[in-house]
Formats: sequence, C-alpha cells, structure tokens
Amino acid sequence: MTVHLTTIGPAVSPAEQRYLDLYAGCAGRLPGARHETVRHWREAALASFAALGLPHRRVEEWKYTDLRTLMPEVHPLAGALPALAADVSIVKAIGEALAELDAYWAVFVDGMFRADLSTVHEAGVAFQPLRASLEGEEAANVPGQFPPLDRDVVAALATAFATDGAILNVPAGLKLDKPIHLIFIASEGAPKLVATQSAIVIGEGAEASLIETHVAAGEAQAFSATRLTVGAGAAVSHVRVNEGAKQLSTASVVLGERAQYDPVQMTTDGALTRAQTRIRFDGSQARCHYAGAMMLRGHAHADFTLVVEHAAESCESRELVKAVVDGRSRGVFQGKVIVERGAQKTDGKQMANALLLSDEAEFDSKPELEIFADDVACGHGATAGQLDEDLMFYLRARGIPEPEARALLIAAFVGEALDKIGDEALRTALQEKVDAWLAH
Amino acid sequence: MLEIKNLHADVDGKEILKGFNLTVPKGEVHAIMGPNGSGKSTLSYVIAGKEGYEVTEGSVTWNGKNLLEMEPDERAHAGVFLAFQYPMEIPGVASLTFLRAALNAHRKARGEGEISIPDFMRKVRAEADKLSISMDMLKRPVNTGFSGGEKKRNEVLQMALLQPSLCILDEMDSGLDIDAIRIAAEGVNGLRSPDRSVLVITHYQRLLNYIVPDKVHVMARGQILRSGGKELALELEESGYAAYGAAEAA
Repeated sequence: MTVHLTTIGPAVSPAEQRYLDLYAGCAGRLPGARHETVRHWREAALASFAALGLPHRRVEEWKYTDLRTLMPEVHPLAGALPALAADVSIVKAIGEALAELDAYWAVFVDGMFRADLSTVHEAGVAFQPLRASLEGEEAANVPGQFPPLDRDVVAALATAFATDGAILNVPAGLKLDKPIHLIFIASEGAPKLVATQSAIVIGEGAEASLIETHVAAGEAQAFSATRLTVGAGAAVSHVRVNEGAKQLSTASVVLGERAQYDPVQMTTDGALTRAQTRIRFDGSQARCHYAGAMMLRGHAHADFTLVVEHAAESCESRELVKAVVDGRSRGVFQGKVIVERGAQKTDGKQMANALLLSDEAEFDSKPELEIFADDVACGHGATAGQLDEDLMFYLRARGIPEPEARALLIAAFVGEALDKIGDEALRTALQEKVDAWLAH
Repeated sequence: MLEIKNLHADVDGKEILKGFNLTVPKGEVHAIMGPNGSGKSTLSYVIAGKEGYEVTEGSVTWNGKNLLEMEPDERAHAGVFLAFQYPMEIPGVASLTFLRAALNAHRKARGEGEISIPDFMRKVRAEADKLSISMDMLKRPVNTGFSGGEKKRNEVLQMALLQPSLCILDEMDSGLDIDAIRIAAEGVNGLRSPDRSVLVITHYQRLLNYIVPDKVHVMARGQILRSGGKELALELEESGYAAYGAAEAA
C-alpha cells in the first residue's frame, strides 16, 4: 500500500495538521528515511491517522478519553537525530522497586536505545534495536513485523514517528531465567514527543517474563506500540507499567494454540494514560488472564482499553481491573470481548472494581460482549464503592490508626490484581509500587 | 475499672441503650446475659467506638479515662479489646501483616519502636501454638475462608498478642461446637489476671461453664435488670428470659 501525504488533502483539522507538520519537518531524519519501503510504511500509518483523526469523545472507543481536550499539544520529536545521550538515573526514573528487580534490561531514553545501560544481550535471545534494523541493509524487512492495526491511532502514530524500539525473538523452547525488562524513559527537560515500537516473538514452548516500564517526565508525550506473538504452548507474563506525564500505548498480542498469556497493566497517577491491549486467540485451548491496577489521585486520567478476540475454540479469557481513584481523577476501563463464529467453548469473564476515595473521583466502566458462537460462557461485572466501614472499624478496634487502616485496605484491594503474578520478586516489586503510592 | 453510668445510645435514631449502668472492677470477669435484641452487641460497639452508635447521655470510663472522647484506635491503645461476634474477613491482608500492624500501632502509642520480624514471629508462633493455629493459616488473608472456630481462635490470638486490660467478648460461643468453645475459652482463661477485666457477653449459659464469671448481669430492653453471682447463669438456663419481659428466642 502506498499512500502519499498529498492524498490526505486539506480536510484535516488543526489538531491533526500539527502531527502532519511534525512529520513533514522530521521525515528526512527518521531512522530508515533513505529506504523507500520504510518511508511508505510510515506515511501509510500517518495517512491512517489522518483519516481517523485525533480521537475525541464522540468516537466510541475514546468516549471517556478525549484527546482534543486532554492532549491538544504536539511537542517536538525526540530521538530523530542522534543527540547527546541524556544523563539519566534509572533508579530515579523507574523507582527502586523495579530498578532492583533482577532482569535483563533494554533501556531506551528519549526514543534511543542505550547500549551503555542495557544488559539484554546476556539473555540468550535475538535482540536488535529498531533503529539499527531500520538503518541496516535489511530495513525492507522491518515493516512486515509491524502490520497496521485496525482503527488504532496510537499504533499509527507510533509507526509514523518511531525512532527506536525492541525487536526481540525468544527462541522456541527457551525458558528465560530472568525477566526481560524494556525500559522506556522520556527524560526531564524541554517538552518532547517520544515514539517507540517493539516487535516481540516468543517461540513455541518458550517461557518468558516481559516487563515494559514507560516513564515520562515533565511534559513529555509518549506513544508506544508493541506487537507480541506468543507461539504454541508458550507461557508469557507481560507486565506493563506506565508512570508520569502523557502516555499512549498499545499492545497487540496474538496467541497460538495452548499459549498462556498473563498481562498485568499498572498505572499510578499521570495526567493522561491510555493503555490499549488487543489480544487475539488464534489457536485453541489458549488462556489469557489480564489484570489491571490503576491508582490515581490529583488530576490524573487513566484509561485501560481492552479488546479480546476469541477466534479459536476452547480458549479462556479473564480480566480483572482494580481502580483506586482519589481527588478529581478519572479512571476508565473498556473491555470488549468478541467471540467469533466457530470459537465454541469460549470461557470469558470480566470484572472491574473501583474504589472511589473522594466525591469528585470518577470511574467509567464499559463492558462490551459481541458473541457470534452459541456454545460459550461469557460474563462481566463491575462495582464501584467506598472503603468498607466495618472493615475499617475492625482494623481500628485493633489499634491501627485510620490512615494506616485505609492504606492496608487499599493495598489489599489493588493487591488482588497482582496476586496472580507467579514470580514473587516481581509481585513484591509491584506491591512496593503500590505502597510507595500509598505513602505519598 | 470499667464504669458505665446511665448510658443511653441510639442506632439509626432508635434508642437501644436506655440508662445502662455497670461497674467492672480490675481483675474481675463479669458476664452479661440477655435475650436477642436486649442491646448486648450495641453495648460492646459503643464501648469500642463504632461509628453509627450515638451516645446521647451518660458516660463510659476505663481506669478513669473517658472512652467516649476517643477514636476506636485510641481506645484500643488504652487497653480496650472487643472480640467480635462475627470477626471480619479481610481479603488481601495476610493475618501476619495485620497482626504486626496492630502490634506496632500499640507499641508506637506507647512510644516504643517497631518489633523486629524475628521477635514478632517468635511471639506469634508461641501464642498460635497454644491455640492450635498453624502458621500456614496466618499466612492467609485475615479470617478469609476460616471456619467459625478458627475465626474465634484468631480473635483470642490477637488478644494474647495485644495484651489488652479490658476484654469484651461478644457472643464468643455463637456458631461454635463444644470443642471449639473449649479451646477458645482456655485461651481466654489463660489471659485472666489481676490486672485484666473481662466482660463476657452471651446469650447462653454454656460458655460460662468454661469461663467462670465473678458476677452475672441480666440485660433486657437496654438495661441491667438483675445482678448476681455465677449461679444466676444457671438459674437463667432453667427459667429462660421470660421473667425479664422478653420472649426467649429460639
């Protein structure tokens, strides 16, 4: 497909035009710009963005997250040119709990892979930074690893502007001894736009723990997209943590037969977090247990949007979202489960629980079921409420003062979303994140 | 010494306690017996400071301190411990976490530092053993999935760790079989001391076979109607509460 910018025409609004202008201004400096295939790939993505437009509340998938009001700005792109490497402290950026977790690191700062901070080459997997791939002789093979995602503005912008990311292959049968931790940092300093995208393939029967930590300091805006393919019989845990300014991310996951996929999405505060997950069951008897935890205070806005597509028989999907919303924050969970014709014996259940800690806190839950098969068991539920007064009294009657009693109960509430994480060190690290949030 | 004078309290605008008077001297065990709806549980919640139980008149003092002016956690620090009729299940909070938080809150209130983890574990293990509570059980969330007997033993364990000076046992025997009552009661008896007062609230006499009181009070319609020695409990077992103007609940 070849779509040139000239075909977009003048119909775009000023909001979209800013992205087109940004692209026009940096196209020649983007990695892989000298390859025609790469240019066409980016421009096709930009054209699909322009056709969809910057999402606003009248677009159903963005009903509660209106980017025209939440993110009208477009900052200069970081990482288009090899710049002076920013001096960052990983511990400071992602917090002690996650930084101390023993893992193979692939670190990206301001849209550039940082070999000096990374250890991923020790993991025994095939790893290459996207930038290097796009600038190498095999650049023409890259776009095929990033197929366009239907109606996905986030993925489209990530493709159009991506300056780096991880291309990762875990060979069939390999059981990784430590998690692979992809760390994406938008550093402090001038406002910037950061775009990254990654393609990860987990071979048949492999076992891997992936962590993606996205941190955006100051006024940064970050777009990221991850395509993940989980081979037959493979088992993958995939933790995504978003912290800081404005972050829009997509994970698009395809599961093979008997694959086991356990994603955990976690967000604390942040002016704008939109974390999209698309999961497609391509082979039978696969299983996915999604857990989401958001903790918001002040003026935070977090939106977990999930689309689960059952395209094969006898698969099981579970979604559990825990939202703690304080101050004037807003939490959103949209969970759509599609059961295609022929995806018989599908077992899908979804639950969203919100704890509203102030009168002005808001939580919007939108479950959607589209079922085209007749022999399925699907259900969903949602609750929103305050802290249980009887439990508070029980704790206080044991001498635990009110603030600590609240913290204990909130940690327990969120903890349910983290309980299923099998890796104890990882679970503890995420619980420490929760504790750190509570200690504020 | 616990002194309750002319206590009136409302729940949802309805007066439940109607001029309740009681004195429990230090070191004594008193039982309050009464039919359902007599206000026994309300009394225990008022002493412990539960929200929604509004005192409209009267006073409650413990060792001269006005309990009614204190928050529930401050009352606990002052030595008050309510063993709940229905101990709460707290999903997601491990029993050990809960016990340590409670113990440290008491230490902090006394101006002491936090207990070290080895010391804490030693202490818990010693007390849990006496009550046949396994450490595995304590790694699970508080009371979650516990049987009635296990929940009550867990209350006694908390009491043993926190060493309160005033224990209020609200219907400790409800829902328990004889063996479970005996284990829980032995735990309570182990805590009897000249420095500790105990208030046993119960509908039935049988618990008092195990925890023998110094005094028995009969409560009905929000007041104490009669007080006597431990033999009063046996008399009630024979005659029921009908004489006190309340129908015996099935």
